[in-house]
Amino acid sequence: MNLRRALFIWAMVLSITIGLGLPVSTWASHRWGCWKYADYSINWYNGGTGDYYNIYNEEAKTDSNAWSPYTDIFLNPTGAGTTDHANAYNGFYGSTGWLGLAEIRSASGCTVLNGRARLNQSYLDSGYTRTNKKHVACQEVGHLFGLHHNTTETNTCMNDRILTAPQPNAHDQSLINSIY
Amino acid sequence: MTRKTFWIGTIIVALCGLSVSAAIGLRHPATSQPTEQFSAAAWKEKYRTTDELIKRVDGIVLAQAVAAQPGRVAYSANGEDALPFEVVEFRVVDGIKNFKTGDQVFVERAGGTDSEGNRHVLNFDGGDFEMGNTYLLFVKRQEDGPYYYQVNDQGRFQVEGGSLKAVMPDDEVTAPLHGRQVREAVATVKQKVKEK
Repeated sequence: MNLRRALFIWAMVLSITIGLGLPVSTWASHRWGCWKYADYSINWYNGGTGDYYNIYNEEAKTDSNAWSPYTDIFLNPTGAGTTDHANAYNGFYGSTGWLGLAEIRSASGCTVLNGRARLNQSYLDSGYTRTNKKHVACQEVGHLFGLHHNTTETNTCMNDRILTAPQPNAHDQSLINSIY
Repeated sequence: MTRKTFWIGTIIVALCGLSVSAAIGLRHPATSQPTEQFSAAAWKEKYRTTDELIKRVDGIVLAQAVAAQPGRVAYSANGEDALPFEVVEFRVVDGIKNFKTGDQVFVERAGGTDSEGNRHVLNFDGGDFEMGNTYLLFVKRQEDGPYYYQVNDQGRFQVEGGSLKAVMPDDEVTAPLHGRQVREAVATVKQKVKEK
């Protein structure tokens, strides 16, 4: 075999192997560490008030592309708790710089026991649309299930550079379904 | 070239390609151990360039953390969730934007020790400040309080061994400053402030 032909084939092989590996790397990079609940069935406490209750409900369960029907996750509505619970709240947390906050409050290894999502009304109540609020609610809940920010796609609520995509996308769906 | 040499070369090239993608994957690992980060925020403002970060904040300081005090406790609207805050006092080592050397800056952040001595650790912003350590901070003034707050996770660099360490080292906004010598980075930021 002549050298020129061999170099061409090697260049192709190099491109293909890098190309094959990159999507896997990028796909995995949207996982938030190793956090996950014990299984797909999670106790869900909606501690929202006023329209924030509706917003959490829509993002978690009732929208057609909410986390619960759209992915393999199943949310059991229940009271607040600290074992196998995702708890959601809203409040006037003040001038903090953040619109929403997700917190793994307690865990056993990688298994989340008590996750909390918070929406900051100090900002969200003035100048933010309902779509913006839904985007933040969707994102904070998505964190609790094990997803990280995703700035490479603009059709997912996990993108923290936008506030206009209040739903998980197909990538989130497959990632969640691979975790649970 | 013999057929054997060609196939050995092909295997080596393929392994190199997989190594490259694996190396990229290692920079964004899907770990099997609990991540260091256990809280995440949707920030009110995220920037696309370092210039925008410098322009949009109310203050930029190179400052030493000297004390942290428990602050207010915020409750959810239904009263069930309590979120404590702490106020961290900084002494300005080098005032870069709207501060002078020797000034005090009080930065409020979620987390810390509450008034009953219970630790509430949150690290979406880089975590607890270490007293005695020096930070390059990009802050905004509170609209409803007397303190400043760290603008987002792009707005904090810890000084380690004379270099800056970003909370988000791979972010396009922080990458130009991450890993740089403090003196050189501060001079760059000062120059950009002057240009605005």
